[in-house]
Amino acid sequence: MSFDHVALLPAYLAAATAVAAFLADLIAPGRGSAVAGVTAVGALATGVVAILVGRGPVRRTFCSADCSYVADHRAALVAALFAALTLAVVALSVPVPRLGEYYFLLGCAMTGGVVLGYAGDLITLIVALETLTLPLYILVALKRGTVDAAVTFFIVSVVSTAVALLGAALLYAGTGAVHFGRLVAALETGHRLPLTTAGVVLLLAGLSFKVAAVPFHAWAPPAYDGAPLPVAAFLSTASKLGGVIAILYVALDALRPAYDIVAPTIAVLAVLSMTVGNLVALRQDRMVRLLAWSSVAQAGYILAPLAARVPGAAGAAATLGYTFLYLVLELGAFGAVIALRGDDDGGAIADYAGAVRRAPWAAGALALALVGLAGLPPGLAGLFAKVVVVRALLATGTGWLAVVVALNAVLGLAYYLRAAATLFAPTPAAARTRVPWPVAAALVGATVAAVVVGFAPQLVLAATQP
Amino acid sequence: MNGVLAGALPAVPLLVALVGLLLPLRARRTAAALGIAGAAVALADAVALAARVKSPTTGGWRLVDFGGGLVVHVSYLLTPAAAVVAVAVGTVALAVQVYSVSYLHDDGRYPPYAAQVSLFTAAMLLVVVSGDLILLLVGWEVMGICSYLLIGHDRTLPEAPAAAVKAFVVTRLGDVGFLLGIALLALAGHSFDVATAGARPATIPALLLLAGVAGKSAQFPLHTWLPDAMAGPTPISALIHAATMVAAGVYVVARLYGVFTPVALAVLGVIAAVTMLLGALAATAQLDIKRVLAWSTVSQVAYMAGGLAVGVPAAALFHLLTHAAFKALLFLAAGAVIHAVGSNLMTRMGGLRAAMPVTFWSMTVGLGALAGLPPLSGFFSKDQILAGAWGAVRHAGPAPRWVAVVVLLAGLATVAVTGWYATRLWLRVFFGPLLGAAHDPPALMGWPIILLAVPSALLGLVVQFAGTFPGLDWLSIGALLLAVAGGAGAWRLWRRGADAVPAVLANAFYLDDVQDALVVRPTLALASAVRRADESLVDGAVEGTGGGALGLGALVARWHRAALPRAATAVLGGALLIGIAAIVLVGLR
Amino acid sequence: MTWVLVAVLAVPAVGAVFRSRAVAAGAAAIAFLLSVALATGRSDGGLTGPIRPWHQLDVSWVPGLNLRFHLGVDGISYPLVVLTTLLTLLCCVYLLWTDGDGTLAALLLVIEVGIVGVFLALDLVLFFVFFEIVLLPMYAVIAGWGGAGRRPAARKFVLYTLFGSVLLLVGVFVVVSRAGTADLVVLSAQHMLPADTQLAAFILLSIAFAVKSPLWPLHTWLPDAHTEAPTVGSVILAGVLLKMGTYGLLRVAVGVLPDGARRVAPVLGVLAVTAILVGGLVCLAQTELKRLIAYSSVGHMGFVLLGIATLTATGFEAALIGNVAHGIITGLLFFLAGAIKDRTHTGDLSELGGLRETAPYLSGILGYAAIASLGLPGLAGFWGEAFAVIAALRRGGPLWTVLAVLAALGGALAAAYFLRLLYRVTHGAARPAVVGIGEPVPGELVAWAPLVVLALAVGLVPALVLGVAQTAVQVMAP
Repeated sequence: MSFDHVALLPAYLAAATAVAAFLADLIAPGRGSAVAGVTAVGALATGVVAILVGRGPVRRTFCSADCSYVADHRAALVAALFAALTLAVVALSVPVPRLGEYYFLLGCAMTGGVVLGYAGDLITLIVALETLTLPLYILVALKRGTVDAAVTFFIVSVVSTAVALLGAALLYAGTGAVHFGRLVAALETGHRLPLTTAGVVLLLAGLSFKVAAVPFHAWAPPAYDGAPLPVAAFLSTASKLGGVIAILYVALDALRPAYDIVAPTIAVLAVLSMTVGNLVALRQDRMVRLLAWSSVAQAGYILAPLAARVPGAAGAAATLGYTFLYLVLELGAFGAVIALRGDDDGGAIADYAGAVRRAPWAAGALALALVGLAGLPPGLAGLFAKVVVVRALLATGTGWLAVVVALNAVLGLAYYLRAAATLFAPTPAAARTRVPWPVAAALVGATVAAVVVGFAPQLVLAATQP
Repeated sequence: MNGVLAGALPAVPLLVALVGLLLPLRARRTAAALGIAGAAVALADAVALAARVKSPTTGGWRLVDFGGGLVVHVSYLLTPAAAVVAVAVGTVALAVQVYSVSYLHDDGRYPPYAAQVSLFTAAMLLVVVSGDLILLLVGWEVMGICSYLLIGHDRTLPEAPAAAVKAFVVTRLGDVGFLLGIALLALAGHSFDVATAGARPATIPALLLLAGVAGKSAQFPLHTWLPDAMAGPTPISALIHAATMVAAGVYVVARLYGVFTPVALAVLGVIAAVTMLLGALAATAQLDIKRVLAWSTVSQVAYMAGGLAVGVPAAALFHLLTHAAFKALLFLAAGAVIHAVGSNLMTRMGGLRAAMPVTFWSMTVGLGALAGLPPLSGFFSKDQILAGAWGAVRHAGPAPRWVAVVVLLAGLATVAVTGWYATRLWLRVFFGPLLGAAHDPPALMGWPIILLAVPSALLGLVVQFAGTFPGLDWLSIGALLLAVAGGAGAWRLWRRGADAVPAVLANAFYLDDVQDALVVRPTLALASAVRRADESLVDGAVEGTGGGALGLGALVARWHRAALPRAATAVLGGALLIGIAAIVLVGLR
Repeated sequence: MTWVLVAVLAVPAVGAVFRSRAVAAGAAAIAFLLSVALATGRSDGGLTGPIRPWHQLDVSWVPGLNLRFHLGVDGISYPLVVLTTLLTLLCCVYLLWTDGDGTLAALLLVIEVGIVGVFLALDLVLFFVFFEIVLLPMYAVIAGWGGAGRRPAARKFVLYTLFGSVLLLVGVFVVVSRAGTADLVVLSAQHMLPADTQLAAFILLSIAFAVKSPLWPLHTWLPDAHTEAPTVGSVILAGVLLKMGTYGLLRVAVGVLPDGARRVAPVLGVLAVTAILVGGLVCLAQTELKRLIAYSSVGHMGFVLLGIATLTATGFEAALIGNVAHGIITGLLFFLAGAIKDRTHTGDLSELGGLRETAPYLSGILGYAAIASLGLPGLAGFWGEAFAVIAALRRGGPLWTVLAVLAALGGALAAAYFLRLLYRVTHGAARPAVVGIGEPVPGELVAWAPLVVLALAVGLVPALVLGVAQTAVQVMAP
């Protein structure tokens, strides 16, 4: 068996980043910024190499009958995204001294994400996803007094993984295949057993835990709120991206012939997620909880295009496009929260009153991100994100879901706007908040990206086209 | 040239009005001069037109195209009748402008007042000359708003604002019909042209137009605003009653006479008959001198309407002109009396004959004309209407014969009642004991009165000798006898020092209260109900949706406060349930 | 002239950045002049469809979303564009003269960009984008500078109107995904959608526009928003923001989906007349000055919607001029109501009274505006209302005749409630609240005078508005 090391290069680099972070911490204990620098360089290199590899021809490796590792254009995009998100989260983490293993764990999680993009079979996919998630249990628990949240996260996660594995096992039992291509072939030709149906649904259900889709979302709000803010940012961006990619691959690559089961399952998940997420978010008075519940709702929008009756590239492109725009905005929101509040705690929404006087740029960025997440100008990126989803749904004749998405946007605006308006609430003048430069850089990066893709969404749409 | 003159007729007073509205409140003299000049130019213009126009002439240009042939023009349609009415309007307007300078000499807001009178004049002249229905409607409604503004002018009278609102709202209600009538006429003929549209008989549009006419001309059942409108300054009453507002309705029916089918004329005839008696009877029981005159207007305009109904529009216009003269005279003279006595109430008047000779003689001419005594103008014009009705009874006119009978009987009865209330007013104001010092008005008020006395006295004779109308017959003599009988009755009662003021007449058959109970209060109650419904049901649904979402959010949030074991169980259970559901559903398919 | 189309959007957008009253007023003035200049060099460019823009600009923006930056101006949009730039200019001048806030002026400019964009957009998706731009700045204007209950009112405004615009989004893409193009010029020329799609899309779009217009029963955001908004906010809101709804209904919903329009028109007509009557009756029982004017807007926009619902050229022209007249007159009314509330600190009709004793000029202008608003012939408000009624009669048949009669009665109601308003506010003895209040200051007069003049000018010469629109309307409705 020969390995295509070029195709594997991004995965190597990601793993190397984790190892380097670990070693750097050993060599220079207590020098947090050096470790962070090493991690950042590693993440950057991973991303760049992923893109370079992706520009070449499609490469496959770990092949038997079919390949477990496929380095195509889409995989490169996913890997680069994970690297970029890791880089941003590292930047957001720098100002506060971390335990040595912090960056190592981030690197590990990134490795999982990068490999996930290249996954060509269910086993690789689930393992990569677990690699992405496992370090997060520890990262969430890093903050004092939040073990409860971490344990909930852990237990629910284990249950979900079990469900996903059960689903994969049932599928294997029904079809004898784990590779995407062969699953398609088997499902197309063979008679479909009830067992297969259950396998499809359970697999999707297990995976939807990662995107915090309802009803597999309960872990997210306490975990986000309990985690250090950069970790929460990672959870709501990279971890969610992992779930989205997993579902996308499974739904479109592996289970395409079973789309008559996939579509309604995802539709149920999407509708529940956006509705429940938005409704509960209405009642949140802590900033991070609000973002957490809103990200539950966003998961619903993300999944919605996949609920079209016919599996299609359009739906996948819409999901990817929306995800990308969401990541940019969500990162901007967390970056701004960190810039305003420091590392530890998002605090109550009421604490943000008058933030625009203390830190006009950061507060402006937060407002832009929130409004963007709500999908309104001046957050044009968010507006186009909604347009992408609705358009995809209507193009595939899933009009009812488009209406549900649209109405949920109204619910969403209610709380996003409440948070955004608080920033501008009149308060007595206060001292300016100082924002550390790495945080500022990450925030500027995210905000500029949001503005750029707001005016030129074609960049995203072109990148996500199949 | 006719076009220029026709255009200038409304345009000059309009420009004067616009300039006047922009004057500062102190610029009293400028305002007065402007107002008088505007009215004088309009009068001169009208006289010139009356001399020039011998046959209908028309002209104008396109204003705007609303598609489907609905093109609105700025156009005029000049007829001899229009020119003559314009002369009457100009005369009364000039008299009012001059008279007001003195009557309102201590008014702090003279410029807007004078400007509004000019605007009023312009609007009436626009109605008179307009060759386009929409343009006519513009003048028609602008008159309404001017009446509103001027009736509410007096800031010391607490009832003035409400009377002003009532005047406009009641006439506006009638105008709903007027607009719809115009619209139907225009849609049927694909034109807003007065000459074209006015020549096509159509019952429903005619009836709709009548609603507007009843409002403007204070005909039953939309007459209720006119007596209240006495809250306006007296010259304004003269303007409204003599030459503008109330005359407009009659004039428009005459102008669009071709539209009125027998059915429409029958309705008009019944309205006229009811109104003339109603107005005259109510006039017998008023103590306020202006209210007597107001009710007399209601009744006299109904004569004109009756004339229209029985097919003698020329006679109706004749009565319009004589009425314009003597009613303006009566109001201005009454104003002089009020000015001298300091009250509107006839109980505070009496014996003014010696103290105010000019006013007395002018008023005598006016009341004589009103009562229809020869050779004063009202005798001839009223007679022509009665003769027309009699002619329609004998030979059948455009309206059914029974209508002519009704109009004739009501007309004759009204003659008697008119004689009664005219005499009553004359006696109560000028005879009997003098109640206090009084004197004739200053020149600026006196001259308009004297000048108006001339046509009031002579207009009938002139027209009669010009030979436009048939001569006199036994009907004239019968009517005269009735008038004298009415007067004699009033005289006998006055001699005994009695004054029967039956409450039902003083309150004009309580029609105000009926209107209040049937229209005003239900509308207001409906308004409150709709407001409540809008706030609690329609908006309540919206607020409820918002509150419901928040409540649901709280409920769902509460489910999430479960402890770890339950959460894990829920996830597992949820996954299983979904799996089973999928199997069952797919299995069923 | 193509550059003017861009400049008229770019100038206020750039002007907003400075957050200065003076710059805002300058930018608004330039935008106004530019918008007026759009009427020069008119030609139909050889187009034969219902939309024949005089000038247009068409560049690709986001092909992936069928979004093109396609702007154009024709006789239907031109009067509204000028109205928007004029009212914005007047508001900016008013702020400049009365110590307003620079940020508020900047927000007005952003709103201007959105509204003018809506009127100029010839691409459905672009139309939607501009439609959305207006929401948050208007929210900020109400929530930031409004009265005591501003926050709930602003929330209600933004959520309710977002509800409308998300349905617009769905409706737009129902059309775009079926037709394969978002070009309004093409879409209105070739009605390529099947009847059922047209019906569905029309219902979605008309709900969206009905919220914005607003049409009963989707109107309840309006009174709250108006009552709490600052003066300039109310002026823009009533003056031009509502017009996005009626313009959208005419240009997009009716223009692109004529079959759907034909099937839904009776419902729209009934609702429009209900709006007229409900608006009038509520006004009759209303006790708050700005709320009353807000409800009167519901009634007036009912006339505009009735005109559109008749689907006749007469109705469309009535709707167009009704739109413009309402913008002028209600803009003026809100300026005046703001002036009164700023001076007396109350909008309660029972606390006002006797204004003509203490401020005769202010009271006179209020009287003028109220009379114009009740649709007096000779002033701007008349044409739209009278010809909406005539258009309904022109449709004929029992339903439309009844609607015409009821609408005309609604017109009489307007007289009743406006005169009641004047009766309560201006007549009688001076109440304590109005004692010692000042007459209009020069800044106010400068802002009001153009509206006063326009109300008369459009009333006397409706061709000022309809002259440019006639061709555009008549090719639209045979």
